[in-house]
Amino acid sequence: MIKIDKVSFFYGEDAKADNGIRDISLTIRTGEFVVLCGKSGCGKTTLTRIINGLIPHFYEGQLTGTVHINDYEVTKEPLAKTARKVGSVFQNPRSQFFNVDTTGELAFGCENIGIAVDEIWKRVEDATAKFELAHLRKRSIFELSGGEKQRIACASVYAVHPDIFVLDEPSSNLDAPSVEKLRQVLQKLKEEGKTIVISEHRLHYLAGLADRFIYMENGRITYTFRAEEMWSMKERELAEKGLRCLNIKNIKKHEDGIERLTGERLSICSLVCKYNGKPVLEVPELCLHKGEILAIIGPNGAGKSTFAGCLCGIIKHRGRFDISGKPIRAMERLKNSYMVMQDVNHQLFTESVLDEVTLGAKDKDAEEAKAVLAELELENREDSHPLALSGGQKQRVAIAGAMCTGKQFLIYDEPTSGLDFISMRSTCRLIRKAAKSAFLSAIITHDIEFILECCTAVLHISGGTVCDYYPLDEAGVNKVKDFFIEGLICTPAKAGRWEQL
Amino acid sequence: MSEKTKLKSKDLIVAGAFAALYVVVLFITVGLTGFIPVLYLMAPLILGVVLGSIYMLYVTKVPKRGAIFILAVAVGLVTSMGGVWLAGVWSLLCGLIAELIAYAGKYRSRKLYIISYMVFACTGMGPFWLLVFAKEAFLQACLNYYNQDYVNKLDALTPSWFIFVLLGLALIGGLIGGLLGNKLLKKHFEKAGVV
Amino acid sequence: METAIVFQRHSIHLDPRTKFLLLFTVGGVIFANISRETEIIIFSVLSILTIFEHQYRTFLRFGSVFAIMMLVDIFVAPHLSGALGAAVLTLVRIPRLLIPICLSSTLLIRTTTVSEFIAAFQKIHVSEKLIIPFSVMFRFIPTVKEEWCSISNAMRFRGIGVSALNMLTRPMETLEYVMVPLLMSTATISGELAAASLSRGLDSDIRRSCITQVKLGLADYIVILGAVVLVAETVVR
Repeated sequence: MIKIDKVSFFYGEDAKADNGIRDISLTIRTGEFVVLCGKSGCGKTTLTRIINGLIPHFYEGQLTGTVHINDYEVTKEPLAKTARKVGSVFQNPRSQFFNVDTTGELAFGCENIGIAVDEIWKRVEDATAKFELAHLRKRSIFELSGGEKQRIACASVYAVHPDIFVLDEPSSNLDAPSVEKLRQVLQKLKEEGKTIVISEHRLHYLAGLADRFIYMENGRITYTFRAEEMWSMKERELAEKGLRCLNIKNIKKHEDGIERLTGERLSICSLVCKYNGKPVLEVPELCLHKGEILAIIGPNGAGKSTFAGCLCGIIKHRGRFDISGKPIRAMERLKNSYMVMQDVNHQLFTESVLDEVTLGAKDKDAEEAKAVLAELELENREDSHPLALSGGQKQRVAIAGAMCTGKQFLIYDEPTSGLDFISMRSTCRLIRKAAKSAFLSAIITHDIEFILECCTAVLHISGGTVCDYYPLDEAGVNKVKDFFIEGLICTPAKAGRWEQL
Repeated sequence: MSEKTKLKSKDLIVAGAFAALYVVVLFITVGLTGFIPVLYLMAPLILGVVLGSIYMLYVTKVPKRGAIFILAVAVGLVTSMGGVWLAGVWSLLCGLIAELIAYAGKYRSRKLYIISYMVFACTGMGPFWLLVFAKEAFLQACLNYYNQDYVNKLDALTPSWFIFVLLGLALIGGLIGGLLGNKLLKKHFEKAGVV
Repeated sequence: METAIVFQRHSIHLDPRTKFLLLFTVGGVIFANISRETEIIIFSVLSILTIFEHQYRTFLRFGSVFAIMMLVDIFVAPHLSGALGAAVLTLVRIPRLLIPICLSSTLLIRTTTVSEFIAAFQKIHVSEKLIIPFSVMFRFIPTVKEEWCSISNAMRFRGIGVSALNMLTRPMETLEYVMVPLLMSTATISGELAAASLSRGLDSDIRRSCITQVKLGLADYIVILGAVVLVAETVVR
């Protein structure tokens, strides 16, 4: 049993800061599956850190109240001792591995607490069997996909045999099949009677698992829902609370779709991209409309990023791209392209928002830049440091940069991973706005809600080639939903020519 | 004071990450300058400038006793891999002095950090001590790869007082790098809340 | 990303300490004016060890470059003279000396697990304060490479890429554009890594166990002996 009693916590020294949690009292029974939900920045993550002891032992700040696991007081005992009782899985699969090889990582927790070698091997065998990871043993973590990394993380925590699992947005970087695999892992943990606390935006995959939902706002718990109450919640209420969909089937297509232009088209011919001598992407023929907002979907490692990279000319490839018969070379496309990356921090270079959006623009027109900033609700932020902004604002700055420099090909790499409903919607608005002045917008995404809210067509890439391309009309909507619900495997047609009339 | 300036496991991990970054950038810079002889002699200066911001962010993030020395061990290991064990010893020496200077500033003073980096930047000229201690052997070795003419030129270009020029270059590079690092700290990382 | 598969159970797997010694020995003697024959012997021994560790691709890559440089040196260079000859010699000799160093460091990094590394150096009582940073450093070098790739892509989209032109015309600006995101992500990732490792008991006072047995075996002693002979031979000459 976890007993949190009147806990408040603020990061840093300022007790008035709005970045902590206040007055939280919560009891979680042994074997219970609790979901922490709420808008970005509501304090979900902080609460998970309270339970696994990272607060106050790692993140410093002002803490009051007590946290008990049975008779064990988490706040008083050292972190290494809590590690035996509470296992933690984090959001970013890139940064939670200490080892370079998967086997070492699976054993890491056990090694740290000095378990005998034979016993560790037994546990590692057991964990790999249970989570079906045998094929991932003895691999380098740098060649695993995000989903595989998260499963290794779960298994390696499992090997320590903790009673409690704390997961902080584990699904935010995963594709649909990986989310399903994660669900199976959680199911097994639940069946074994483990207590599970999970902070999450995506809720639909937790159906049948979650016992209780804790809704947080501004660092406080404002609602608690039992599973039945949650699953019967109306869409309107969900939207108000900033929660993501509970059931993919019920998502509606955004109505005022952008007019599909019938003028110019970008046609791609015999595109081949090789990596280490092996072809990783082959597209015989593909025609894309001007003004399209294209969702690029498909499993991890299928070639989505490679396709996007070829499209904007940053990856070496062979093949012809032309607009209405006029060829447009890779260098030219690169000059006219812009990619909003998954980790926006990689693309902020300067010391003020205004400098940032005009960086790389030939004639730096401050007035025009200001107009764009105003349009993106950043008008008061011109002089702020880009790195000091919130995640959503950083993303807006990056998009503003693309708009100011008049780029024609806009690529977004999973722009909505880890966003709540409200932020996801505002990202949609932005992308639509930016798309108006661009030739083509392409979005690599695993987020079905976002696709239906924002995109006009779907490009399905699988096995290194285009295996489907369709507009999001009624039939298209059903098709894409089916893909996300059932994880249908799409068989590539090698010689296919993809074009819509 | 003593509890606060003690290295914890958390700091050790951050130290490892920054050491990795430092070493990678070191290698890339040496790789870029290594092939052009004149630029090669300028390496201590260039390295000092390039690596300054990494050092400054690192020491500001981990203002603890021993942090600088750990970085010096990493640099020492890497530079002595090229066979010049002297470079390793030299790195440790520079690291130790840099650490003492930072200690004198109670791990708070930015000015002393910049001065400590000037000393630390001297690690970049470690391999050049060969010019003093084993010049004959060095030129002999060069003779194997270049012709006599080139070696003579190299000999003329590098009298033994030249080591002081290199030392001077490293100190200047350290000063520029340290100031640049300090500027970036103020301009970016403080505002971003990293330190 | 390169493949870096780690094999544990096979004929010969050297102790991390031996691999370190090997790296330093190679680095130490390679610049000491050794003969072409010694160079070939050193490279061959390293190649054999690389093959025993199943790093075939590494072997092929280094082996082919080394062989080409060697063949050009032996068969082509003697027939050239003047500036061209000097240029060819510079190209095939100096970089060639780096190959054994690169190969032995690749061998060390690719075939040593973090767990082995920690265990081996705990055995000879190296302080935790050095073991932890160095094991993180190991793990972090590929991470830096990954981060660097996406940062340099981002820069190219903005027209401020790390090109020769930009480095010559505005070196300080380019340096800043590179460093700011690189330092940002190092700071963030290292913080998250620290949180994750500590929440999994890295800080424990209990003596760590290690899943792979780390001890010096026959192969290690042979390699160590070889290294000693090599150093002795170089010093005597």
